[in-house]
Formats: sequence, C-alpha cells, structure tokens
Amino acid sequence: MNKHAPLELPSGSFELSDLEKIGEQAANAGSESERTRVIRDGLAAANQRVDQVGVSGILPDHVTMPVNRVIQEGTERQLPDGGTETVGRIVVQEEAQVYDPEAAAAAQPGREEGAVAAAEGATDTGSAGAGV
Amino acid sequence: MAWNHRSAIVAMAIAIQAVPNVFTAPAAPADLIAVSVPANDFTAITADDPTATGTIWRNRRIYLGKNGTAGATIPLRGPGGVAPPAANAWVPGRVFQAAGHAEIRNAAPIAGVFQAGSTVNSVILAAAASAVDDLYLGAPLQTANVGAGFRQTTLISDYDGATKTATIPETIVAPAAGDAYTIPAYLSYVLGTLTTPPPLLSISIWRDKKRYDYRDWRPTAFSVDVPVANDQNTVFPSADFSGRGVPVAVVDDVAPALPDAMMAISPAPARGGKFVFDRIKLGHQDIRFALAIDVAAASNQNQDAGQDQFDITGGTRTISLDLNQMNVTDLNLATRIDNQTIMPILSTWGLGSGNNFGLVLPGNVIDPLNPGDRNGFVNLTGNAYPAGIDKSAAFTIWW
Repeated sequence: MNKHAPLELPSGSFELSDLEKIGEQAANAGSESERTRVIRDGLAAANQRVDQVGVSGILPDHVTMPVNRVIQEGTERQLPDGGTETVGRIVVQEEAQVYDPEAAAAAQPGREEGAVAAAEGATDTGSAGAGV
Repeated sequence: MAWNHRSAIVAMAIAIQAVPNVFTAPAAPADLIAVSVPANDFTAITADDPTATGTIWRNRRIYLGKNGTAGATIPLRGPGGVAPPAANAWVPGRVFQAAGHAEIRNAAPIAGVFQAGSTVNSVILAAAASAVDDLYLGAPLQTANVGAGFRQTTLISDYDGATKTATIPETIVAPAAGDAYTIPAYLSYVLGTLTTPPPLLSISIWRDKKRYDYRDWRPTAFSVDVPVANDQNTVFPSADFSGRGVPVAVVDDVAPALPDAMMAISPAPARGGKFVFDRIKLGHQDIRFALAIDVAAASNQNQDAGQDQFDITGGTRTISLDLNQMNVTDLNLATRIDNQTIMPILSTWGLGSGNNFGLVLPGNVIDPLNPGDRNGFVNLTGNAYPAGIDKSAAFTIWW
C-alpha cells in the first residue's frame, strides 16, 4: 500500500494545509479501511463547500422547498343538450413548502434522515438528500 | 409602462446552491460575475395529446413545464488583491467547481531549498515538503532555475511525496542542492473524477429591467480557451460555460452595475508567458481544454416534476490545439502520435499578482494534427486527450 497515495478530491474548496494533514493522518492509519475512513471524514470536514448537504447527505432541520405542482385547471361550459362539461388544462405551479423532518419521519417511518419526505406527504425528493 | 429594454444592459450573478431544489438567490455585488452577454432560454416540456378531435387538427400539446439553459463567456481576469480570496469567493471559481474541479487555496507562500538530485524535468523539494502524493499538482513553483521575471514560474504536474519529487512540465536548469524556491500563495482548480457530484448553482441573469432566475444548474459544456494575443489575434483567454437549470422566476429587477474594483482588473492577454508542449517551448495560436458533460435527471414519480434534480452522468475531455508547424528535428510529432506518447502541456500568462494564470495538463496523448494556413504560416490543428483520469487538468492563479 502506498501510504501517501493521492487524495481523490471532490468538488469543493480546500486549504492546501488541510489536505496535507488529511494525507498525513491517512498515512498513519492502521488499516486500509481506517485509511479510507480518515480520508472520507477528513475531506468532508475540510471541504468548505457551501452546500454541505452534498457532503454529509443531511439536510438542515427546516428548509423551504419550492415544489413544482401539476394541477388541473378547468372551466365549465354549456353543452347544446343543456348539460355542462369541464374543459381542463394542465398547469405547473410552484409552491413553497416547508420541510419538517419530524413530520416527514412520522409520515414515512423508517426512512433515513437524509432522504427527504415532504411534510404534507406530497413530495419525496428521493436522492436529493442522500445522493448528492 | 416600461418596455424598450436594452440588450446591452446585462449582468449575471452565480451562487453555489445550498440545497437541491431550492434557489439560493445570488446577491449583488458579491455574487456578480464579469461575463460577455449571457445566453439563456427556455425549453417547453410538453406531452403529445393523441385524442382525436373529429377534425384534421391534432389537439394542442399538453404543457408540463419548462427547462432552461444558461451560459456565458468569462473573460479571464483574476481576483487581484494581495492574497487569495476566501473559499468559494471568486465567482468564476464556482463554475469551475460545478464542472468538477476542487478549489485549492494556499494562503501564504511556502519557501524552501532544493535537495540534491534535481534534474532538468524534476526537482527535489525540501525535506519539510509534504509526504502526500499529488498534493502540489497544479501548484506554482518559482525559482531562478526556471527563468526570469514572469517566466520564473512553472506549475507542478506531478508530485511524489515519498521522494519529495515535483515533476516539471518544462525543461529547466537543473537546480543544485541549496538553490531556493517558493510556492507562492495561489488558488488552483484541479479537475477531479466527479465521483461525488459537484455543487449545483443558482444563477440570475439580468436583461436591463428583468431578471431570470435558474436553480439546480449543471454544466453541459465548460472550456478554458487560451488564445495568444497579438496584432493578428486581438483576443483574450476566456472560460465558456453552458448548462441546464430549472427556471425559477422572471421578475422586474434593474440590472446591477459591476463593481469598479472588478472592472479595474484587466483580463490578462496570453503573451509574454510560455507555452510548453512535451517540455519543448513551441509557437502556437491557441489551446482550448473543453469538457462536454452529459446531464440527466432520474425519473421519480414521487417528485412533482416527475424527476430528481439534474445529475452529471458522463463526459469527455478534449484539448484542441493550433500549433505552428515545426521541424521534425525540433519536435517529432509523428513518432509521438504513433507511440501515443503521454506528454504534459503547460501554458502560463498574466499581468500581475492575483492576475497570473497557468493551465497545466499533466499527461496527454495526441491525434494526428493536420496542416493548414494561419495568417500566411503553416499551422497544425487537431486534438489531444488527457491520458489520466484523476487530476487531469489544473487551472491556477497565483499571487
């Protein structure tokens, strides 16, 4: 094993000195698995990337999430036989929705915290939390 | 009423998006970026309605929403100042990050003296230098053994932490033990593997009195173009980017003026620096390092849009070259092509502290180059490709 094997850097912002420390700590790791853990945790901690969700996979407690919502919009019109019919069209609206992890957990027990379930049970951002 | 909006009044601002699916509003002036007239448009998402209408006419398509694209050309001007800016603060660097680069900051110069064993292509850094392989890849290295003035700076193309050996992509005077060197303060963008998805961007584009906002922006094309500036080619190095995002809003908002401090920094022309191909200084007109990136969104019925956010699913890296034709005795291209020799490429240019640039491509193979005419001289054009996967390019600014 090359104890000082190069670090594979994710996108983000790092101080050179932090990368050097991580590399040194990894070189002193007792096993390959420990080395992998040191690098993973070290890079996550040193990364000054703004969207820390992308590194940790954990969303902030409460975030406002715009949701594209498809709704039916209809107008009623009179038919020749005296009846009525609804002429509809589909529109996409954006709504603001507050993510509440407690409500989300209650709505779908067993889900991991990093995976987002919408408080109102309408939205699941799926890999948005864990996959980025 | 306010119309007659003028097309010359444009501005762009970019923020690293904090959370997927949530627009992070860029703020002026901190998030403004100096770009050419940006391109932004919308693409309708529609579904065909197969319902027979009782006439020859098909029913109108069902509108499901819209996607957007946004992009621009960045004339490359550095952040200036006396030291590298804070993390994520150089706005063009956010585009580099979104395209898979890691931003590396070295806030203070590192001084040292070479150990014994340096050659014309590699130097042995001080014993105190890092033991971590590749740590200094892309870092500028200044020593009188490289050259004088601006040309005393080269970029490290490889680093062996065990032996402290820094590989240099040019031919220098082999330093003696005890010769001094400096790794100046620098800001570098090193292209990674994108194993971890890069950050999403939120982008605002002002067109006079209206502002177009996009979230979840991913690049589909990104390139750094370094054309030589001279009396025949009055051009500057630039970075081009284009990508897909989700339109958020179009609102009335007057375009902000770019700060004087930003505009006071001139884009640095590519002249008075160096272009080195397989450690041989060549005349050339242009080098462009381009990423073509595949972007797609995974299907997900649980999402109101029916899909997750855009992800990068693939990509290619291409180096476009426009070289002056050279003698075989100076550089035997045919042999290098046939053997698929892995060669480094280096370009440096700049106008001063915080506005000095370098592009190093540590190892590349080349396709056959075709002869042509450029301003009455024979040129050779064609493509090269990085041979390695990780850290295959580094773009560096130094102070």
